[in-house]
Amino acid sequence: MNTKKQENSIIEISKNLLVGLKTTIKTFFNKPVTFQYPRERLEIAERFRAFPKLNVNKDGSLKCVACFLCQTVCPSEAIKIKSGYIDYGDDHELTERQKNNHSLDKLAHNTFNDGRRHPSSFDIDLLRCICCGYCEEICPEEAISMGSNYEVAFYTRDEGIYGIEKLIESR
Amino acid sequence: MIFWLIAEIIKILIVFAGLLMAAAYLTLLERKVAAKIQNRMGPMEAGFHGLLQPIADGIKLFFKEDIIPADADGILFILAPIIAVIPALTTFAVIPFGAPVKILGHTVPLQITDVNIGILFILALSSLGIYGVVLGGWASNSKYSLLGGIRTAAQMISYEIPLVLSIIGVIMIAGDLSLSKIVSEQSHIWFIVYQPVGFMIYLIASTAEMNRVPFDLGEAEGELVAGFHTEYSSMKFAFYFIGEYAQIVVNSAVIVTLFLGGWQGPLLPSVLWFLIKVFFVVLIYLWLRWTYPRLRYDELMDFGWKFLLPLALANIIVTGFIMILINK
Repeated sequence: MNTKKQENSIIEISKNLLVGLKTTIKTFFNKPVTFQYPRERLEIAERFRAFPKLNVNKDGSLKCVACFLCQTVCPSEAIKIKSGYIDYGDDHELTERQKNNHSLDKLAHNTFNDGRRHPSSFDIDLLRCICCGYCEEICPEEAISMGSNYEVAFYTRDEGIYGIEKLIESR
Repeated sequence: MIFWLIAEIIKILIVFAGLLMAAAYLTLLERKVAAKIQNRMGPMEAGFHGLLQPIADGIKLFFKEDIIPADADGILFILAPIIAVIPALTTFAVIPFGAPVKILGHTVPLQITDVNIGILFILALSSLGIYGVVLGGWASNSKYSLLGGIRTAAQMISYEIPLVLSIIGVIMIAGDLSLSKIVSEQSHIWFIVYQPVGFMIYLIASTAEMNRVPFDLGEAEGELVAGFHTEYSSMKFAFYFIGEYAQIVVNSAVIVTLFLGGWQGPLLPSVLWFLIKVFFVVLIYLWLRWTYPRLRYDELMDFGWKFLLPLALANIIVTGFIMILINK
């Protein structure tokens, strides 16, 4: 039997056409699988990891000690850190650890610190970040970890550079 | 006389408004059907389940910039979309959309005008619609538009012939060219029972004549950007759109009138029966569109000339034979 001839016969072609119609009428009565995005959100997986975020202690101070490891390991050079001390000011109620730390007593008047180095600025350019997770892996203080925030949109490129406050807030 | 005039004007207004509304909401229906077939939901934002979408689209198109290309043929460029719309809307004039009603002692037929050569009128006008496409393709002065226009013209010539020949079977059985007569002839049994092949040929050829998928070579977006309406924007584009969708409604109405018993049906009012039938024929067109891929150009020509045309001729001959056998 010549298969080519068989394929081209009118009966075979019309049978295939009917199969197509049957397929579409079947999907017509199926339930839609799409989500109405801004109102309905896809439930993301528990282990889903998107952009990095900064973690804080219970009293709200940064865990980051500005060791520069994440900046060094970052393959896309998205992280820019400037180290410095954080002035907690007069009103800040020192934690037990901070009270017992006397190594920085000689700091200028009215400057309070917990005795650790902290970043004075910590910027991640989300337009450069490739969400590889190296920074989370290398961080000795568990100060940076991958969050689940994937809804990032900006009007300008500068808005894509997240500072300390935005990185703490992001999920 | 005055009563006749007023009744006629009211009928024209109702049909005109109804046809435009149907064309507008057909765009929504098409998108919804496409979405359902592809397991999506379609437009959901404007109004309840997107019911206001056609109006939003209309307003958007109305406020878009109206661009006329510098090298375009100005008059023809403006004229072409109008030519595409008018025949599509005018064709509906001879289609009976309901049983005659009695108002104030006068019998008013629910048909704008009962021409005694109704079918010829429809065929003549629906062929005129091609001029809108061809002139639009020529006047745009763009290679894509021109190719789209030429393709559409060639396609129209190939498919007009099987289209006309497929109707001849119906005319032979009905013995009349008037559409109201053809409908009344179908009071016992629909012509689709006598003419299943004719129905199939008409369905396929009319799809090709309307430039719809799988025969939409004139606007093949994969090859020709948008075909004949590549250079059109704003309301001129909307006119092509309205023309295209009005033609779907009109062609469905013609199929209902010729093959599916027109407005005849039990229990429900006749106009409602007509609308239900038209709706289901429209659904068939949409179903075809979202099932099949586009034909290649040589396949299209082969199919028209080597398959549909002989089949339509054979249909006429067989119909004639059977009629002679039954009569004698």
